[in-house]
Amino acid sequence: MKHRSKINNTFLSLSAITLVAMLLLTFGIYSPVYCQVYNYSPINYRDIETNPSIVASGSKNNQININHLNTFSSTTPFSYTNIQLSKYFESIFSGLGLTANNTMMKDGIHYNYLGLSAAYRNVLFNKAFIKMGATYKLISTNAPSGSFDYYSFTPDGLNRQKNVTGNLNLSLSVSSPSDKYFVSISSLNNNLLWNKKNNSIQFPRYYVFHLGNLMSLFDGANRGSEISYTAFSTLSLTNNKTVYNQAIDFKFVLNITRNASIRYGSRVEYAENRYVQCIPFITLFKRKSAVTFSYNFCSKENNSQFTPLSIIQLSIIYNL
Amino acid sequence: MKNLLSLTLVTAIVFNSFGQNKEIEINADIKSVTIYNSSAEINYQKEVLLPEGKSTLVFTNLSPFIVENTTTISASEPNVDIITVTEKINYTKERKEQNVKAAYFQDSIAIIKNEMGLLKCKEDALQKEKDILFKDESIGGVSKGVAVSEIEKASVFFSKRYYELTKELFESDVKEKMLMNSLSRYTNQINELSINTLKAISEIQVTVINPSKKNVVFAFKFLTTKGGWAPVYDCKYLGTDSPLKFIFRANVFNASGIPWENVAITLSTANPTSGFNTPSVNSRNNNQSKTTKNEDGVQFQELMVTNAIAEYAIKHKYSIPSDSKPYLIDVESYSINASYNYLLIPNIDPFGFLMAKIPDWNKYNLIPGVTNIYNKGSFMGKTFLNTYAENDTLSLYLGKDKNIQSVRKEMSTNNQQTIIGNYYVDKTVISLSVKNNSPEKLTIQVIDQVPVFSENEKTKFNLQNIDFADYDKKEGTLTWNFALAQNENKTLDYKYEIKAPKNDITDYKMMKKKFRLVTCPSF
Repeated sequence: MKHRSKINNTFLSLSAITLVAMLLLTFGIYSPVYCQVYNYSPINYRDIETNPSIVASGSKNNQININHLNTFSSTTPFSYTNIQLSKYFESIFSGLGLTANNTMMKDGIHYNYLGLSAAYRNVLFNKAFIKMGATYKLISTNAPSGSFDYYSFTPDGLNRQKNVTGNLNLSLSVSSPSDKYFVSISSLNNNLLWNKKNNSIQFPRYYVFHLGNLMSLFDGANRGSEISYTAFSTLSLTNNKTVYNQAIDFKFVLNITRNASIRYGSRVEYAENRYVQCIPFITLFKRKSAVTFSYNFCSKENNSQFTPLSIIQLSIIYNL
Repeated sequence: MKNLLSLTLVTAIVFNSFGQNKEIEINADIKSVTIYNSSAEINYQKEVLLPEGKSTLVFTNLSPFIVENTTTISASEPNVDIITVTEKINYTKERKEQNVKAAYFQDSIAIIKNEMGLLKCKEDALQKEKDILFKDESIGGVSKGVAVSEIEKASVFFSKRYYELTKELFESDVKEKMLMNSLSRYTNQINELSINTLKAISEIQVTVINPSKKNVVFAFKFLTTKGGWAPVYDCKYLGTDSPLKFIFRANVFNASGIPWENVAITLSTANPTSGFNTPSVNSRNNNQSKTTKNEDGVQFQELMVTNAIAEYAIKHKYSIPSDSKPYLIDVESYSINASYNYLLIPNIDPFGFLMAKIPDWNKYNLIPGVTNIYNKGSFMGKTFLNTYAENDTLSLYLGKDKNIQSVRKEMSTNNQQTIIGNYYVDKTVISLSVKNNSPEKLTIQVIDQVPVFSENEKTKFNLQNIDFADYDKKEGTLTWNFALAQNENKTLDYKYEIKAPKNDITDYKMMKKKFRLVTCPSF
């Protein structure tokens, strides 16, 4: 009884924090943060593109992940479709991932890439998995010259042009075999030596840090519930400043049947040391599949004017 | 009128004499016995002077354990018609006791019991007298006085009589104990002889019609379950240059109630008691069953044998008393060519086992049985011989020879404490050393075991330096065959490496080796 009551207390307190954050955003007490290239699809430990080392995790053997975000707004059109395939090769302790992405912004600006991820894992002191991964992205843009800046695309020219470039995401993580506990660092958008720097289209470099699962600090015996911490920094190409972002993800599990459960929670993010962003989600989880629905409270900046921008996300994961 | 009465009387006498059923009691002799594994067919034969007309032959003094509907009878004369054959138990007729020793012991028991009865009577009488005499120990009672002389006389009398009575009671008690002891010994001896105490006998009544008086030989047989046999083999190894001497004997028992005296015996592996069902072909399986039962003091076990039925006619005649005891009879003797080698399984036993390989073994069609192993005249032990060889070559172990020695050393190292690595690696080095201390050159076979992993297992197994050994991946056995001269020593070294992926570290434990069992003779 005591154990259950401790879990309930934790759950109530964390749920309350999430709810308060959502209310604050809803009533505009705090200015909502904008969506950014990597931030509208939250950077998280299990994302193949931002943490390619995850494909070498035995727990993600063969998986297909379809992710779609949309504003469903004619004034601020935005859509994002991402398909990820991953396969783990147990005999060589390596995994491969394939990502196809199509992002459409206002004025028909397109951002597409095809990513190929590879990762290898080894075992440290017979205790932990150490995983190294890389994702090479072949990027095709259809936009005026400019930069895919911190939050959005910032054009510095008028004439639309097609560009093809490429960059590399790297990550290193140490985790428990089931990825319940993890520490991970990533470096995103690294220019390749053989790629000439494309001055007409640029991407900022990101540094990402993940830490999980912090739920064990509250109750190590929780079943599937998680709290993880994510921090990332980037150098803004517009003002040449490094900005920092921190986020905490809460996830709780409600078992429905033996093979099905509902997972719900939220990401609460403190971005640029100025804004609070909240992305609540709910997932129906079955043995081999999961369907996630989330709502992203954010806004788009235009000449220091904030335009409310709500993004709906639908994600389907299926273990092949 | 007087003539008419006389004619009627004569006619009646004549007709009566023709229609009269003459009963002839016959004690037939057992001519031969066919013994099956758990039953016996007893064959009788007797020449009878058969009168003309209808008569009933009563073959008496037969086993009371005749299996129903198994009696068959035939007459030597085809003109003799056998009308009916019936079996019955005769409880009024006491069976002729054949065992003199048993009769002696039974008589002795009767005498002892009689003596003990008389002794009991005597003891009762003495005890009664003692009770009466010494019930009131006050001489002359308590009311009047008694003269001193009378007291003296009475005292002498009581003292003397009390002593006599007590002495006689003591002697009776000693004698009773002696008789009890004798009774116990005789009873035990009777039990040891296992004499069937049934007094009933079977009789077979045969009604026949004979056209003319003549001598007719009747032969009849029936089946009883109170008999059987089990094989016992003696296997004698005389040297590497000599054939193997294989002596087939049988333990025969008779509990039919009638002794088989000086009879011809045939042993058979058939099972006539299984009934009259349509025969069917079953898959051949030679595994011995563990099912056992105990009947008439005889322990039975079920064996799976080949479908082929074998019969062995015993050359000499034997007498088998009806006492349920096993009697050993010689069946056959074989001189079998075999090749010999020494088997060493150092992981189990450091010494060599002499092994004979007998080709064309199945032609002997033997049933499994206990085999006594003799090595150059020395009794080595018993083993259960499974007589059906899958590949027609029987491997027979002939005993342990301490002149053939082996030493097995195993050294394992593992990298469990590594800083980084995807595999747990266990390296094992095996060193086998074999020495021949015997005065002759010998053929040696060494078998050792290595872990067995299937092809689709994630654990990788790498075997190195096995030289000329035959490696059976499925069984995980390494087999070396070589010859070793007198006092020669041979070293066989090999090593293997097991690599197990570290997939689930939370449950990670030291990998356990997997071994298969290797059959080793049990002497």
